[in-house]
Amino acid sequence: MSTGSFKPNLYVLARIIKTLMDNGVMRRTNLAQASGLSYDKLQRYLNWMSERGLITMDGDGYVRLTEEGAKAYDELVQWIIRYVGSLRLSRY
Amino acid sequence: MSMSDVVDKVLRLRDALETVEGINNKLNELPKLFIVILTVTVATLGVYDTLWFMLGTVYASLSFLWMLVILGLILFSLYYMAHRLDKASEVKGPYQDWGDKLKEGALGVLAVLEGLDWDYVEYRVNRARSLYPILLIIDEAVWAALFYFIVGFAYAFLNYLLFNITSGPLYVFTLASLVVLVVALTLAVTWSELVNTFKTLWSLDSLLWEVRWLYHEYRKLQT
Repeated sequence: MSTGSFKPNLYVLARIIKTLMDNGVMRRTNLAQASGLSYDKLQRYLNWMSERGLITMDGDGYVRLTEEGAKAYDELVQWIIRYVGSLRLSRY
Repeated sequence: MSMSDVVDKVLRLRDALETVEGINNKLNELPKLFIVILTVTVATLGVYDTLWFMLGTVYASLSFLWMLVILGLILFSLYYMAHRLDKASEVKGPYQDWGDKLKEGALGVLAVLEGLDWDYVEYRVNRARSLYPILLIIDEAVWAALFYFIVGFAYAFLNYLLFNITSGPLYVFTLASLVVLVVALTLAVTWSELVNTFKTLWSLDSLLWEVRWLYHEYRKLQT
């Protein structure tokens, strides 16, 4: 199933990756529960992530984070530190 | 820079946006305030005119009481405005859950950024920045009116008792001095607020640019 028009929410994406980083390989049902998503929604995200090589899924319903996935999370964290951290705000 | 520094930055952004909400809420409150004060003033003056028409000269002997009524009207207006504007500025807007979200660290920052309505934020900051001087002008005008009433009353009283100046260059000079005194008193009382207003305007200007820049970068990250 193609996810061409699907636009992921970066927070949800990061939460899925973080859950996989903390727990290792997980079943889809457990991952849905741990990341607080409905199964259908999680499936859409997993398809999108799988197409981009961030995770791998096997036929038994197990999900594994790839090195690319872990790197994507690190890049998100680095983006936050770089851009949000450089906001110049006065004290109110 | 660590993630806790970033979280601190986001909390400062929240404080800034809550200040913006406060300013916007005060601005929203102004038309309602004017309607209430205008209604009370017109009603009071209406009662005055009716009594004057019905009681005529008998009523004229009670004119001193009317001075108290007018003083009461001014004090009521001041208190009512200050009270309502304070209440309005206490409403913080849609940012109150940021503290809880940010306990998650990087995930919390992403949750905040994803949940932010950027167009709404830009509109509110822009509106606060553009209309904030109105609040300052109203504040100055209210204080000036109060001082004009007090100083004018004191002057009229002293003039009646001691000087009896009713015309000529000295009269013009005393009236001009009265205006200068009112302006000086108003500035003395509101000076720190005046300085803070300009600081806030400057901060809002930079906040607008920071929000635009972050939104632009975030859009790039999303794509």
